[in-house]
Amino acid sequence: MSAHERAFRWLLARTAHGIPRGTREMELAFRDLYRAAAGRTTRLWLETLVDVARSALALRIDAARARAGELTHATEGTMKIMAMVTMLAGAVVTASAAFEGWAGGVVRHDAASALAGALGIVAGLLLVGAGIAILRAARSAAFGARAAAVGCLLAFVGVTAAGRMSVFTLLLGFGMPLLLLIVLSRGGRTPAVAA
Amino acid sequence: MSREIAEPAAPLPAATFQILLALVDAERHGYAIMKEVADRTDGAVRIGPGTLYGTLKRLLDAGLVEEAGERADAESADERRRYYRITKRGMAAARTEARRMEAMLVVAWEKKLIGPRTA
Repeated sequence: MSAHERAFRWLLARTAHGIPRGTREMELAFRDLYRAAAGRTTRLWLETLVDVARSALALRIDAARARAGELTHATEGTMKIMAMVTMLAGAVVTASAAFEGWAGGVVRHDAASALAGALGIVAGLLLVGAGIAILRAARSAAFGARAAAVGCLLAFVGVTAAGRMSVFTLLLGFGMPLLLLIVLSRGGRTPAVAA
Repeated sequence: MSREIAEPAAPLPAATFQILLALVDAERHGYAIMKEVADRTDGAVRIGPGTLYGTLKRLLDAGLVEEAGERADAESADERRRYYRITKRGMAAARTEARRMEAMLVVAWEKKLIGPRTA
């Protein structure tokens, strides 16, 4: 390998890194150009420097765009899982609150327990709604999911104030919307779940 | 995928059209494409390695060009090269661009910018 080829490789390493493939072929093409130049290396290098400077930015933008695409796919996967977990948790909270509200309110005629059960059902349904909002991936989905999560939290504040509820239901009712809000704030403004 | 290549109705960048033209009649590797373009234009258009492989990557992503395997060059026979071939979609894009240029040339001819009466 000539000094010129080594210099071109050095130049590529500093301008075209992050490009998964093509650098070896670019080196081969430069070697052919160098051979064809037959000693006219000044002109070859001037043209090469202009070409690399002009194309390096475009190559970097393409490479960054490809990496961003991979990241978006990863975020989509996380959001889909989060949506399904949220809906499942919402269904469990709804069923649990309905059972506990029925047991306390109807069987034992405790109005506070009945109110707590009703609020728990509302909170559970809000969680299910938040999961559906994330899966819809509409422009307003993030706002809808956040609003539902906040609504669920407020409902569970009411549940705690109104009466007794099992620790399991309370943990789900407070924990799940908090987790959802954290994931939504880290995953961007719009939960990008591709249809 | 590059927006400029993704829309076949939009004019193709000059380097992109030159590369597609080089691949219309034969599969070629990178240096052969550069050489064909330079020879065909008497050296007026010279595509460097950075422009060539950046454009080839976008053409591959857009499905206008595809890889045709690796083999040694028939002339130099020193190292295996990756060959590229134009796809049907690439051929259609090149044809669209050629027709666009043809239409512009017709206008230029009618306005006597070019033709037998201009010297």
